[in-house]
Amino acid sequence: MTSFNTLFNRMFQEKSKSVYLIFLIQAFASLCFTIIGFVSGNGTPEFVNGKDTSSVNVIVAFLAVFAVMMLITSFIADFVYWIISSIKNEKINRSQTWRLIPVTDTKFLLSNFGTAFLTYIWLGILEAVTIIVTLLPMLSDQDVRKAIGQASIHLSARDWQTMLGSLLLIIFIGYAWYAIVSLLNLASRSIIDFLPGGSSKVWTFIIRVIVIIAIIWILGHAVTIIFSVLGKFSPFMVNSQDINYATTILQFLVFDVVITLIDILLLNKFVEAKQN
Amino acid sequence: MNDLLTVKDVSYKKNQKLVLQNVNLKLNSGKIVALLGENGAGKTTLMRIIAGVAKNYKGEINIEGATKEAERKAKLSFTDGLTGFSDSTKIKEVVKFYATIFEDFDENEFDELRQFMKLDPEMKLSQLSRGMREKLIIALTFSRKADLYLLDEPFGGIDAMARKKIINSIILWKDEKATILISDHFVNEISSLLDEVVIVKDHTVLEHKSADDIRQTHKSIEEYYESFYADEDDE
Repeated sequence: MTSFNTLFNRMFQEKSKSVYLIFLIQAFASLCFTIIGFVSGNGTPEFVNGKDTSSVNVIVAFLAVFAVMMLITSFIADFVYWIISSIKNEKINRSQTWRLIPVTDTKFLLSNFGTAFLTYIWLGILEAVTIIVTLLPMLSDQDVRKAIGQASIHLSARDWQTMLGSLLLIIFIGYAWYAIVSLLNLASRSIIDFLPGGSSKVWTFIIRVIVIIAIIWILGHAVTIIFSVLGKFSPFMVNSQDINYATTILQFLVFDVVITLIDILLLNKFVEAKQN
Repeated sequence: MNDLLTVKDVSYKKNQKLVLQNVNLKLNSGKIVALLGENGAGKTTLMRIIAGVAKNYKGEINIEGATKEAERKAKLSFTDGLTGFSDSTKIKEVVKFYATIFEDFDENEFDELRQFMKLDPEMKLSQLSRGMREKLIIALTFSRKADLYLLDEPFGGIDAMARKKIINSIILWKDEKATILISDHFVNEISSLLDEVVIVKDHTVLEHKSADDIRQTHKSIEEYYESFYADEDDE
């Protein structure tokens, strides 16, 4: 039997190829935008801090603009990878090459979702590191250091709690996306394989549209029920503001678990690997 | 002889169309068995059910005590079309995938088979002809030390000379106790290898006989196979 770790590492390697490709395209696009900005701009670059201005070294300014371009393009790159990784997940779910691997369907699906999510975070880390590294030379400027020193950031325990809560919420919502996309694909595939008439393109399209509408309707109702039930259950927080945060996290956790269980059931019982 | 594979009362429908009905089959270890039947008879489906990649079937599959799909997959090696890889994937990358994923994959064995098949590890899948791709699939399949090999029409695109060489060598590539279930249209070419023949017709296993018995009662295995369709030809 293949271990979960082996499968996870292998899937991560496979998906990270797309991450590197998207990151390279993003970096190249940011470089082009930066060069265009510098060529079309005039005068020496300046650092502006309130009413004070001071000239900045050209290379330092170039890197800083590049960092800003990386930040701006990251929204597009992240969105593109979000879509690509969802498609890749569904291809793997139906691939005979992958489905012949001796692991249980539960491990297979969790590894598929987990690696999609982790490679997404990996793209974010690559972008963040690039932005930070290209901004570092700015610290050589005295005015920049002074401006940073003046900006006092004090985080209270509540702020840290909120940040942690937000992070958890982002993780659960991100996971929910992959689980819902799989639910749509696996459910429509199960129905297409069950109904008479084969799998012509028109038939497949009609079924998929119906399934998408049906699942959105069902999910809407399920979310209302889960959220109204769990909204009354807040055992581990004291402050009313925290209660809302904690219950929302709990609601998304339950939602993710329920959708994942349905996905596993569909993969285990109904959805076959695509024939060669 | 121990039962290696037991298929019990397996039925399968797709799109409400019956593909297999009440299939029962027992294979012993160490045998080379032909799975014969016309196109659409359900040979591939039966192999896919055994391999655990076809779903929603009724009945039981047992490979040396393993009934769960994941456990069965660990005990068998199935000729996969490598559709999970992009065309730009190199042979050496496919081998790396197999070596990482399958505990029983033997890289040295693959290297020998690769040389036998004259495959360059630097070649991309897109550069392979149909025949070369099938040679790669055979080499990958036999590089696993499995109890059961499922070969689904493995020689279709391979030229006659190479096919003969491969067929004559198959017996050397498997362990003594391993069983091969092979579906193929080139009945004559594989007949010298065979220990048993299974005929799939009318959605089920119609006959399961030893090759020696067939040779005693018929001119050849091909003639025996064709006798099942003689009436249809007359019509």
